[in-house]
Amino acid sequence: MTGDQGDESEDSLEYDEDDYEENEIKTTPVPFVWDDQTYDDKKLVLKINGKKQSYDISTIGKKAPFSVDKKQYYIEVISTGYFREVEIRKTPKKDGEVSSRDKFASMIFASLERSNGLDLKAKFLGIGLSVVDFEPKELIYLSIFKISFSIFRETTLIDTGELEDQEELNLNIDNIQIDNMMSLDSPIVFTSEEGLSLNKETPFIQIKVSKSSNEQKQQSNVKIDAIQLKIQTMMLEVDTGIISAIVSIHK
Amino acid sequence: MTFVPRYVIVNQAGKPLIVTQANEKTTKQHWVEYKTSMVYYFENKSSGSDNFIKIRQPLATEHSESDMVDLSQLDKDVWSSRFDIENYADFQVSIMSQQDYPNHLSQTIQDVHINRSASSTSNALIVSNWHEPSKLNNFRQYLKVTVTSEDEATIYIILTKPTMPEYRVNNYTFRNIDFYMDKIKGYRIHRYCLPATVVKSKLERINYRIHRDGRSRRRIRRLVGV
Repeated sequence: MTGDQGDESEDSLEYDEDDYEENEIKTTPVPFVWDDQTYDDKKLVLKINGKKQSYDISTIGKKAPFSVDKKQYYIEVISTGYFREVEIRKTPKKDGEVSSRDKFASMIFASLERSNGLDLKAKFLGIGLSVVDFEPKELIYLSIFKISFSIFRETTLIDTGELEDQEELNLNIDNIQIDNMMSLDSPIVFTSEEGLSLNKETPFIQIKVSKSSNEQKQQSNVKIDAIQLKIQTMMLEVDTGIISAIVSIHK
Repeated sequence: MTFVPRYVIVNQAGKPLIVTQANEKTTKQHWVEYKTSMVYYFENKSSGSDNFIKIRQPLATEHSESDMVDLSQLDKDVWSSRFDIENYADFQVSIMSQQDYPNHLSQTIQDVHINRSASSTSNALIVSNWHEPSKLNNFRQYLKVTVTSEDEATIYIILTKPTMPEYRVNNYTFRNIDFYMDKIKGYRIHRYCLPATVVKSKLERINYRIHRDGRSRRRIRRLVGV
């Protein structure tokens, strides 16, 4: 390649294809439907600079490259789950390089819906975990109350034919409490302050992440709309006995 | 005596449609009002496998079954391509649209692309829906055809508006690409894919290049073990 200084002068109209990677460019996908469905041998003709080449696009996978003007273009048919896409690239796509959108979309298969997605909600009343020494004697007891977890994903086909992804993740934990099972003097090692009161309203930990991505805005492929983490006031009370007991387990 | 299945054509396409058999001997056309269904029988059923039908939208002068233009006087382009209703399938066909046709045909497909790419800032989006008539598809209207049956005795041909195209062509190169269906006798739509465009500003591009070169230098160092 010649010096880099020279090609800085080239601007907007004529681009050197080797200078740009896919996240720097924007494409305008065009819908295609067979004009006559009754043909057994349906082929698509691509024409670049007067040269024509015919392709069977009924099967997915890599197709014969298109050579024109001493350049080679790589043709591949992929399945998005919504439709098949014929991609024409200057460099071949690496194997296994599948965007999360394609992976997700192919899971759904062809559907009549304009949007597809996943909405999962899980709730646990509580989880308890005991730390026991060799005796065996219970040292501490960790309890997590009311865990609710939800994940929401949606891929929508907007009118222009682009796909838009939306993802939201929520995690709420009402209270975490660690009990000291060795002494009766300070039975609670750790808890949220509100956790001690009976009618609490706000969960101890709240995590919320939402992100969205749009095919058209390829320069910022994924946008994280919000990350929210809320932790309520807490109380920590440790006596030396419990520390030495835990340390002794490791010896 | 032959036993033939009962074909029921269901029109959910949002407008009345006219159906006929795709056969030279055929003289009859059948009007199917929107949101209704019609029992259909082939006029000249052959023993072979090519029993096809085709559809069109009523012309501006046609308002009901009684004032339909005679089959022989119709332009070939008004019809959809012929299609098979004997096998269960799901596909799409295009028909000539009566709206905006052919007044805007002088404008090129390229205009649509330019307007589309400009649409991120302005909301002058011409192509509201890819299946609606636009410059992109030579002002043809796409319809989805679903051939199905519940009990094997009646075959339903359901005509609806499609939501997804069958294919999409995405051009990541900086070349102009034309594409169309190969070796076809009837109506063929030539489509046009504009070259990809660079989104980053010049400043961002230079930064990117410095970053990229730095990365490749690191890669070389790693390869030679320095």
